[in-house]
Amino acid sequence: MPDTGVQYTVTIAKTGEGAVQAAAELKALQSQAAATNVALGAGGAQLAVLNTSTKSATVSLKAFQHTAQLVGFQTFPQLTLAAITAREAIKGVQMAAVASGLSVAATTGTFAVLAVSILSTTWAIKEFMSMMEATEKLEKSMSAATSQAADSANQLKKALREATAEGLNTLDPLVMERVQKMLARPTLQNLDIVRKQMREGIPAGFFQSQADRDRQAGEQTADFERMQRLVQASLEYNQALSGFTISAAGREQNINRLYQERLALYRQLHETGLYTEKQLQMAADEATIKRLAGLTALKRELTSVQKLGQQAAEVFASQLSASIVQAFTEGGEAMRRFASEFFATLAQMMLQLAIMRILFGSSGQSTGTGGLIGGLINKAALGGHFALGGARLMAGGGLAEVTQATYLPRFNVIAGEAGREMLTVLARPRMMEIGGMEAVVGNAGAERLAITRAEDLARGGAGAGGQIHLHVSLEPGLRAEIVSQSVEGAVVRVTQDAQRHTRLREAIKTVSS
Amino acid sequence: MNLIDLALRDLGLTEADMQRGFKDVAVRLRDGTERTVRLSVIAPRLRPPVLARYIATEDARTLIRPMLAPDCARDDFLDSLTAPSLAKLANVAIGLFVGPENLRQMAAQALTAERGG
Repeated sequence: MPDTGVQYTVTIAKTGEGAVQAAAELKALQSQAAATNVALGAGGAQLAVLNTSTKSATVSLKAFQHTAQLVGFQTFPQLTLAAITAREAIKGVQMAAVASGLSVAATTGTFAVLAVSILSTTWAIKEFMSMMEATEKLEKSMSAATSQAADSANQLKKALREATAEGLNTLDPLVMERVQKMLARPTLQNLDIVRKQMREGIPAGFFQSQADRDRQAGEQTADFERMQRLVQASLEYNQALSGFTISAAGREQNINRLYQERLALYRQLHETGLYTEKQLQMAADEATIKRLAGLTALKRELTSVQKLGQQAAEVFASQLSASIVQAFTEGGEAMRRFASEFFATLAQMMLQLAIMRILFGSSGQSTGTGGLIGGLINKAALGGHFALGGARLMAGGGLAEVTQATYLPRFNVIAGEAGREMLTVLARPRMMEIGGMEAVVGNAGAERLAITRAEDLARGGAGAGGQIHLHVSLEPGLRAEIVSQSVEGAVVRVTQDAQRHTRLREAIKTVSS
Repeated sequence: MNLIDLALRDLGLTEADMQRGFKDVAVRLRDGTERTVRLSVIAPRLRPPVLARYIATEDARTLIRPMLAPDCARDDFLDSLTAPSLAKLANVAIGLFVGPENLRQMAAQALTAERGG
């Protein structure tokens, strides 16, 4: 760092408030505990029903999952049969839930303990249901598709004729015969085969209009995205069943993998002539934006409190749900043991949450924790000048605003832990008196800034306030008369400047000579 | 007794622990086994950077690690703890930083804030 030998001053002006968010998050966790209490209070019957329902749903969904995985690897036009099978599986799941006395939605709403698992399952069902609806729409539009296929076939026939006429058709005669047969009876399926064959025998891009290329590229990217959604749904579904949660690192890896696969697809589309250079660039940019958005969302999601919430949810969803069912089955001592363990577990996490909110989010002054934590971190949240033990204050310069707890490694400083704060770094600071006001003046980047009391500044100086009106007359002896509100310093300055060789004296001489 | 009181009671942190300079904490590992680990008080001058790092990273392991014996200060051990056990260690660690009475005050203040007081 340059200028490490120079002294700097860091000033934090605290303007935000702290504990409101802490309270809300604490309430959320407590409400989870309350919901659990309600479930516990309702007795074993409901939980037994839930358990039966979950088991039935699990069996059906397991069968459904395999079908769904098959569906996921088909392209859209071939989806219909598999989708019908999947739809039957969904109906089976719904029937199992209803037969147990609970709809899937009711199950989700009633039991907070298994909320994570059920919600994930419900989400997976929703995803597939929307796919089913899309498939039904496809079936309805089959007749329209048939006429579209005929149009496409005519275009391909024309392209084939033109390519042959120009000597660009290198297709084997046998293949050519097969292609012509398929073109005579076009369907969406065999047109794909025809296109593939023609691509092998005719230079890329010859027989396709831009609209064809765009459509084909669109289909491929849509298939890719659909497959990714299904893979994701399958992963989340497995998580819900097993209680296993992918780590943050794993999720980041998934985001990066998806990004690389998207790029590979776009490059492939470019190489096969379906994407222009510009389209490739735009698609790559879009993939980058999606990746960054995913990573940002992941980072935001994994803040401390959410990590705690996630851990709590894991505990609720995996270990404790089984314990609850077992405890109700055994009753008596087992129930007491379970309750003790359960609440002790929950209590530790709540206490950690409370401490974290005090440390990270609340205002030292408003909650009075300045004496506790402020003493440890040299009252960083209380404003004024500070430096942590062993901290090296280095050159940065300028002003910066932070709105959340932010660690500044260059300064070894935590800022923003008490809400919105403005950081000012002044290099070469020194005390000065400006217009009667005491101020710390220093360099902030390229600017020289002064820190002074706002009240003094509002008054226009530490001395008298208001405006000054001087009347200077050029009568013998030169006279400056204060006509309203006086400031001693101003009179002195005029008098002194007129007596010394200054620009004011020169101006007076010019006028009076 | 609310949950915070329950947690404080479960920690069992006393002034005697502070004077002795350590606290043995029973923890549970993800594989279901249990063991006891010792959290030792660290020198006052080392506390601000440790706390600063905890605030910056929001990772309880950064707070706990300097207070553990070397064989327990490894990431693989800390990662093998259940989430509630890690929370418990973090709570004891903060308690050893500020003392049991101050920890109690902090918890009380958090509850007051939560109730809108």
